Amino acid sequence: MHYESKVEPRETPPSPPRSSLIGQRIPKLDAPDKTSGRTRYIHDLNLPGQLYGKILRTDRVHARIVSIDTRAARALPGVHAVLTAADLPRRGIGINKDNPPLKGDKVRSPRDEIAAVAAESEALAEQALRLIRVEYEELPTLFDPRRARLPGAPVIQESKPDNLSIGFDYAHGDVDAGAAESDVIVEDTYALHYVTHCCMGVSGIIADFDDNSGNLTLYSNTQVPFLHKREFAEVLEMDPSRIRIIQPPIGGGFGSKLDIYPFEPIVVYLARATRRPVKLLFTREEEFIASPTRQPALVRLRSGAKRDGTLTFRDMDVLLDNGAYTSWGATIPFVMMQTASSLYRVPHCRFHSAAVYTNNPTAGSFRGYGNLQATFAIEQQMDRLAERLGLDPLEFRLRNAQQAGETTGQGMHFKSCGFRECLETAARASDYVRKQAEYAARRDDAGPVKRGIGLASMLHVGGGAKIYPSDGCGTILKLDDFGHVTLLTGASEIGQGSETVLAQLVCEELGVPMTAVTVVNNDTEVTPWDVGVHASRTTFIAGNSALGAARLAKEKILNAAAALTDLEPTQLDLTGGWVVRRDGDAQVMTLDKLLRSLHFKDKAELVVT
Amino acid sequence: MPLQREIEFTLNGSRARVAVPVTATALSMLRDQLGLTGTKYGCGEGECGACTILLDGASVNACLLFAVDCDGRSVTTIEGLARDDTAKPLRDAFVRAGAVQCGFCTPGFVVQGKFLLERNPHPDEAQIRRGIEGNLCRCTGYRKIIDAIADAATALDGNR
Repeated sequence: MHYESKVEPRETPPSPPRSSLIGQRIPKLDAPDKTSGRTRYIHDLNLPGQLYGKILRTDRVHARIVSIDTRAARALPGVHAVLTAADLPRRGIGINKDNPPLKGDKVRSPRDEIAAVAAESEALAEQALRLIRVEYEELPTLFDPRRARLPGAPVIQESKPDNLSIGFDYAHGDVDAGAAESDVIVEDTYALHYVTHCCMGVSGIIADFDDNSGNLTLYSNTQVPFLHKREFAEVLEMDPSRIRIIQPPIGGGFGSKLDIYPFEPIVVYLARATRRPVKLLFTREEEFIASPTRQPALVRLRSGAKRDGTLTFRDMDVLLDNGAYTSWGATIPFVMMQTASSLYRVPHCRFHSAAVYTNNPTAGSFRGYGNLQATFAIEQQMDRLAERLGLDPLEFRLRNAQQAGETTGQGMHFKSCGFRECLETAARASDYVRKQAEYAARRDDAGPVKRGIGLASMLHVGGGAKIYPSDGCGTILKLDDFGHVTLLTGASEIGQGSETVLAQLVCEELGVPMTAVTVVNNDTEVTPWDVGVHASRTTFIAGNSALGAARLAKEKILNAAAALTDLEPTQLDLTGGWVVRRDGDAQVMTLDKLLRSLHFKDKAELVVT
Repeated sequence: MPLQREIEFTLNGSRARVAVPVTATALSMLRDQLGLTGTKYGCGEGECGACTILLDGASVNACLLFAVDCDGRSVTTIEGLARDDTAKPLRDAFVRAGAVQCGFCTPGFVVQGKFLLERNPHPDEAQIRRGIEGNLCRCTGYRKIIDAIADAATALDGNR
């Protein structure tokens, strides 16, 4: 590299005071568009030549499909395709591969997909669905998960005759020894019910094949675009590199968009059959019927303590209602067992879970990922133990709360830990001790009005839970010759503000204002790999990736600036869109001018993400 | 094809003439015929408020209103408020307060907030809560939306 002349440091105008973006209240980058109706969600997108997909769902609970007659639907003008299981490869989706997108042999729950139509309009597609005739033979039903593993229970999935979807076991210490040294043992069963994500934006997808290349573009609300590329490729028997996923802004996820659902491959098959783009949106009613729920759980919990308030053991047995098919949600015991083993100091712990098949709605992954169910049971029982011991519930918790430096039985090491301070602060702010004693004393008073106050703690993973074999996120930074930064990140924005926090980190490092950045985060063809948006991981994982990229860019920029001056890179810094002297912030040159001088002068670099 | 009727109305300050199916909702006319997608479909039965619009200044659910009933009247959607300087303090307050997450409910809340502040420029917290009870949000827990509307009332006061 050589340059025509050295540039002298400029002394005027005086440099502005160094200001930091960190710690500032930065408005979300997407908020102005969202407050003015400009944001285009999947519901607002349409492609030229697009057809509308609709799905026929069964009205039976558990029944063998004897026949499906689609002739009248096919004959309806404006209907371009009618698909049944006979038209699709026999392949299931989901982590147990137990959920065929269209059901051919039998239906297992009253939302099961049995036929799909692509037509010129939604109304026509609905009309076609009404013309499809299905004959069934009823099968015995299974609604109570407690019956699922009893002899003679109806079998939901033929490949799983014991109705067990997924089970987990964990133990540390010796629960029997813990029980033997306990002065008090409490056992209860807690029943946790269904909850639905109920995202404000209903589910939807658009599938578009390029007729010439065979490439597939999906407009999808997924939380895990790169994992879905792979999953779609498997289901569709396609080369994953021919699948591009574009994520329009997501109208709420809360875990519901971690899984692939039957409607998604169905729409792809409709697009393939019709050689036209096909769009499908759920109605709100369909959203309630056909999207997942949180796992209802029956938690049998037994735990003990010594008279001095020391916890001795915890024994948890969880029965999860999986519904008829298995989603990622069936792996929530991974999180439940952490709560069982590590929320408070637990010398001995045993955990067992079984997710069982029933004819109930299919459960999915939901924020908290099992932690709510486990924490609810444990914290209820902490109160019961405190009561039996005659201890104040706060004091009982404080005696068992971990401190920095401790390692739990499951091997979770707390480098820092504000558990006790957190409990004490909450108790102080809520006047817990006085209210608890006062309300407890008045519990048996006459009259219909009772008062209570509760205290609960929670332990949760964050910043990369490693639920997938690898975790990580790539960042590509492009600086144009006007000093504008394009930040390409694998991280998905789901309303949580990730694009803003990533932009903030990069702008801080490069010394440019927030207006100097554009975030691109919605296209697998453009952005580097990321495992997905879940488990409170994005700020830590994607944030460190963005910061790493910005530091590399800064190093290159300062090296280039140093080569133009008689200064060392270590004497230089970036702020306010300028290269400045580190001591005193005297302006050396503007960032955009420096960047313009570098056109194709840097060594070419292979970018691997 | 269902029977159609031609209607004329004021839409965000301009005259509009549209042939609408008599069975169509104002929501589908706005979104599917006129391309104004800022008004959202959330439930289709008046429960969620994502499709809130102003009809002659009153807030209504566009999913419960027949398109033909817009005839001769004045309709304001979020796209209208986006160009309306008197609504800017309200939109800015939503941004500033962090009242926007996934954003799907936001247009409905902004329209409802506009209606609320027109009727009652100095609402207390209880009145704000009452005023937005027809709008659902799944992300924020409402606290920041309430703060945004209160903040907008103060900002608008300063402008008066």
